[in-house]
Amino acid sequence: MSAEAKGTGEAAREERVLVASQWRLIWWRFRRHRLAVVAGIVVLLLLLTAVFSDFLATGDPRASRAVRRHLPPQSISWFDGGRWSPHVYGIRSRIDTETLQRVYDADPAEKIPVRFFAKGEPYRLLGLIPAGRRLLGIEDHPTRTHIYLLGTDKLGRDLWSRLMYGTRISMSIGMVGVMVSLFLGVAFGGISGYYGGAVDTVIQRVIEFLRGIPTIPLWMGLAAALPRDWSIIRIYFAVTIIISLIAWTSMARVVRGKFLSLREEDFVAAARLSGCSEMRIIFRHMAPAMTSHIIAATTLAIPGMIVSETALSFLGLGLRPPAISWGVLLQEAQNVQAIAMYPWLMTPALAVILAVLAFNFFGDGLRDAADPYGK
Amino acid sequence: MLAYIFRRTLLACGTVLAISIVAFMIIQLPPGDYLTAYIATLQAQGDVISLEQIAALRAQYGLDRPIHVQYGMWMWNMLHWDFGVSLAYNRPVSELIGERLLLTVVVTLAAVIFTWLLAIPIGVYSAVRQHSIGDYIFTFIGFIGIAVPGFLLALVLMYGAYAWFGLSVDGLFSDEFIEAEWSMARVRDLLSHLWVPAIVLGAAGTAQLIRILRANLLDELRKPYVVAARARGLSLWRAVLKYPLRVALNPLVSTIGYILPALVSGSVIVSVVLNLPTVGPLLWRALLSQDMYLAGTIVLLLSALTVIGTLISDILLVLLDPRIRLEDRQ
Amino acid sequence: MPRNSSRFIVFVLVIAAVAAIFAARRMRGPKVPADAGRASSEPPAAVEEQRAVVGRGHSFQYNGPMPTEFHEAPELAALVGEGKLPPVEERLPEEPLVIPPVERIGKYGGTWRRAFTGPADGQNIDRLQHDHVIYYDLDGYTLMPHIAKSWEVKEDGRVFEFKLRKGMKWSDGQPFTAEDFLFAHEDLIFNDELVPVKPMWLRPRGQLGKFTKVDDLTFRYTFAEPYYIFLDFYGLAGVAGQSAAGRGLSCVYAPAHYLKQFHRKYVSEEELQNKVDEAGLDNWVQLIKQRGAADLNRDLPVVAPWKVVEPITGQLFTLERNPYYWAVDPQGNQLPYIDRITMQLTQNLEVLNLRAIRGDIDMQHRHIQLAQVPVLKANAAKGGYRVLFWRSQSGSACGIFINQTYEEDPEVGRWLRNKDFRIALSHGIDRQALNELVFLGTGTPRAYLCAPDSPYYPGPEYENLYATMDLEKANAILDRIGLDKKNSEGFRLRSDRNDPLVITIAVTGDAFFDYPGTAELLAEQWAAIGIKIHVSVEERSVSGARMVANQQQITLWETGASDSPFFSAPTGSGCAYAPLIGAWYESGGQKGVEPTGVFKEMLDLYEKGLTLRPEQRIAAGRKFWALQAENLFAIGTVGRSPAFNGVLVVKNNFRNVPDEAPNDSLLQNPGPARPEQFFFDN
Repeated sequence: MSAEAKGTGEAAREERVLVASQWRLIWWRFRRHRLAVVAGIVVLLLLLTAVFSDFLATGDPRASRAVRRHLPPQSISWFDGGRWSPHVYGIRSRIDTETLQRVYDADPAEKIPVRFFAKGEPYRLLGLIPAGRRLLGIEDHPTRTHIYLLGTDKLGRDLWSRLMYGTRISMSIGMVGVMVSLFLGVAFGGISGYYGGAVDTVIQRVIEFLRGIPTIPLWMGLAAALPRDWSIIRIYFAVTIIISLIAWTSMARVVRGKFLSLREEDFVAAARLSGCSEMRIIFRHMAPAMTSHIIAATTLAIPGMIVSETALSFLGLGLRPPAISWGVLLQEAQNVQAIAMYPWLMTPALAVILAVLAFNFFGDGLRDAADPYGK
Repeated sequence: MLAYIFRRTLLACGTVLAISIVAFMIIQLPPGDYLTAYIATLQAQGDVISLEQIAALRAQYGLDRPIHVQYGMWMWNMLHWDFGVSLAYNRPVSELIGERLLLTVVVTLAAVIFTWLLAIPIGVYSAVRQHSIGDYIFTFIGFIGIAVPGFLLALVLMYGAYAWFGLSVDGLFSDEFIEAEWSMARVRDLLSHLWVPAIVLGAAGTAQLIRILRANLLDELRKPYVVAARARGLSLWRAVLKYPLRVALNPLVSTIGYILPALVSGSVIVSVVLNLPTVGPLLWRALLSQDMYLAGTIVLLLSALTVIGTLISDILLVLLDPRIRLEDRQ
Repeated sequence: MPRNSSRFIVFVLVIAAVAAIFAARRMRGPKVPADAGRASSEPPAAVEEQRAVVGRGHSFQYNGPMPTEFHEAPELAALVGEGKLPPVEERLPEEPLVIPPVERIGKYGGTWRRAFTGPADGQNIDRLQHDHVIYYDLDGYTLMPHIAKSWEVKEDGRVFEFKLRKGMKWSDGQPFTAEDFLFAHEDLIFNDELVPVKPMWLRPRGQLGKFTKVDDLTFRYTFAEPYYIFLDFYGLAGVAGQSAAGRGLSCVYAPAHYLKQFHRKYVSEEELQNKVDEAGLDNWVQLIKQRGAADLNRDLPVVAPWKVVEPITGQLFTLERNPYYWAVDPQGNQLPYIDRITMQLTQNLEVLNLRAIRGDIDMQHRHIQLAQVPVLKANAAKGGYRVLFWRSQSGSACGIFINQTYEEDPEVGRWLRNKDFRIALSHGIDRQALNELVFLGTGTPRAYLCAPDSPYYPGPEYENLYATMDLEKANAILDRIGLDKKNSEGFRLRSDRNDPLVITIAVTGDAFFDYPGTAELLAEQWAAIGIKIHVSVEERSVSGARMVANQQQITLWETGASDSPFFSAPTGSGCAYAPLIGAWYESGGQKGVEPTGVFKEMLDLYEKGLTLRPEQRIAAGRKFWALQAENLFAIGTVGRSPAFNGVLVVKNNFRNVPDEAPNDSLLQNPGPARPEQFFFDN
């Protein structure tokens, strides 16, 4: 490349950087952080799974079958004698009277074809849109209706389907809870940081007070006070709110911190000197500088909500069967026989790990990218 | 400066008092009281207990008096260092907490040491070699701690230790040493059991520490003095370790204040799973059976520790970082 | 592409590949067998007995010659040699109880390791101590002498006279006489401050019995009316065992020489108050109760086989052999064989079961869960233990109690009281599925009845009465009685408005059995007949309180208290299927609802049964069970299984444990198997 062309290329790039909007800058900086990009993709996949869980599931997550209890995961064989023909084998089972377990053998003679976009029992996507097809399934077979991708649990329920539905509930608890924390955090943090003085002190003390209450007794007390005849949906929302009651304090501190430091910035002084109203300063000038940080903080708060939900389920305070969430699924794996003999029951833990790591790295990447003083 | 400390201390006392009221109320929130739990136990054993007997017991335990009277009595006794009697154990609360306090501190310290041992090297490496493969691998390892559900990990470790190595790792002592006197052998036994709680509890705190350390160190490394030192030929590691690291560690000191209450409270679940003889499981049982004086005292203790911890952190920050002192005066 | 990113992608792919391979190997699907023979899935067959069953048909009644020479444990012999203990002949009563061992004469020595869950788990040790006055034999029915040498029933069942053993002593060497019984009755049970409500067994039909000390070795009870069943009550832990009943001060005997120093009648007010203050308590009642509880107070003299060395409030609850224990084996060896018992505090049940799996528990059934049996059996060889099943003789681990006095929602209450409704519910249960999923196939689907070999068995026609799955019949019944309208989801509508009829099943989550899982299954099964169920998982104390307050609709709990129907009549407010009727009976008509119809019949049978001799009582008992089976106040699901505290883990060197024994909560297993004759065979 000639020196001239190189110079033009560089000059052009610099030009682009100078005129690029804030969001474009953030995107460029974010892209360089490989781990965060991968994490972002995972986050997107998780959200899609949560939305399309009915489609991704292979059956009814609540249907129990005694003769299928603790079935190990059934792998799909993709080829049959060289040809593309996804299928599963038939299952024969008997009870081992010594160990009281059900023992399963695959029947190699019986090959049951598996189809993509198979028509199965009708369901409603997101509870609203009637649909009939699922991603994978068995169509029109006299005896078999289910593929057990991740095996079954102690009541013979398909774990893969339960995991799909569990993803929806757990992810939405995270999202909804974070929205509540966000709202409370921005409101109180903003007021505290902007006005300062007595208001600030009072709010700070309230925050300190809330953080000082040990979480577990607080959760136990609140959860135990919930009326027992509430439906699962109501308990679900109550659980979310209980978790957010403490979580908003971290958000408030971040927002307050940002407000305090931004207050001293030159551009705010300039805006004030040129006669802008307080409202305009806040929303037109300070808010955009904070948004990226708030988004990052929000993303980083989600893993905390997910973990709290599993903790509440462990304590017996959160969602309980027949509701399905990662916490509920982990509870069913929290025993020695699951670990020792039925390890596939622990797959929801992988989902939790994946989600927490993904949101953390994604959030870290966002924050690094949004930091105007970074490299 | 002193005025600041004095004011904050006063406010801290007020906060603790407020928390004590909330704590007492929270414990009473679940329907019933200690007696309903006790009666249920009796009934489960097939014992018959009539309504009159229940009423008599309630009067005996003082549970038939209104809440604010019970709270008042509790507070009044506490000012005389009398923390009440545990209804379940039939022993003074101070005794019960006292015998577990030492081990709680030991476990917490072990977890903290593990956290630092893991987080500091990873944080430093992560800052110096940002965006490298090593950075990604180590950060991944560091963050696994908060991602893996602690209660499941504890159970898996306990089972795994037995299934693959034939070890029994629950609790803090083997059978022979549980009630024995302190001796070198007992200390060795303790250390052999301590690694599981240290790992499970410590791993949970590494992520936060890595983040803070990395952020601080990155800030420091961009400063002109570091650039100048590198330009003059100082090797990267000497340049990092000699001064920036120490500066970056400063804020860490302020996090010490949060550590004790966080670990004692946040580790209740893992302690119950691991069957540790610490304050956590004691609190758990007390909450379940609504043993109000025991639960109330522990909750108060924890909140007091938290508030004091915040206070210490704030004071330390003020002492260590002259910028804050000056800003505050503004 | 920059070098770093390509390296990173390679790295990620490598990790993903490794993980995928690992996962694929761990989770292989069902194996393809070499021969494609079909093994069809069938209901579980009964376990065939391949080897001789230890202890089958064994009885602890001894009719052989009294041993003339006595021996003792080596460590006690050493103490005798040092002059710290009197010789064994002086420590034993003149006629000690002779206990023939289940397998063979045992050896002295060993520490029996167990696990307990906290100070509330007192039953863990009570069940081993069974220091009763009279007690049951291994068959669970026959009463035998225990502390008492003999007894006599006089005056048509109005007077019961017991004879003690001459020379029997407390664990501190003081004589054990009828004086201790007198003290317990006069100064403890009949003291209104200490025991405000007198125990139910002492006041049949509301009339308080009398206690008389005849001489140092004889005492008697006198009742106004015939009360033959008194002996059955007297054999129970909660009545006449110091370990269990002592902490409520309602045990029939107590160490007078020790407890008098804490009793207001024998000590000045000032001195007593000093003791109360020293102990950090509030009043003398608390003090004497604490001092009288064997598991809290190591200074309390006992007559149990082991005495407490470290109380139950510590980390390691420890007991050691009682040198004055009053029983021997046929060769004259003073029992117990085992030196000490240690119980480690293990609050988390998973860890407790893990300890059993590791072989760190020598013999225990309490808190061992049926669901763990596969892992237990898989590790049995490595851990050096065997797994035994002690099956329930009565009812089942999971009975469905339908509250007949429920009032909060009149519509629901109306249906609960409708017998056809209950029959339909019973026909809608898939007991085979329940048996397989919750009981792991160890039980027998049947109605709520005692076992066929119980004397109170009403007849084989009741065995499966209404207890077969018949969805057609169930649906037809529900349609017929007025629940024929359904909503779009298929749930039947209430008769008073257009909402689905919702019934709440209340269960506890932290009990010995998976009630929440069972309730879920029932909800699924009953949805097939159009009944909508709401499952409410509650804490045990809350659940119990609500039941007493008549707020529960349907509860799940074990029905296996005893095969004798006289222990399951609605006589207390804790009766799950008729709390208000029980409250009426208990309060003598002051509270609750007066019984009519079937309940009146049941209570009449109960009261009559109190007065009849055992042989005559049987007819009344059979009628009682027949009424239960016909009316379905409690619906049985799966019976005769070891699900409720019936799975035993026993180390292979731990002997004299019968392979089978009846398992019901009123028998307080493993008590009837006489733990004092268990031993370590090293």
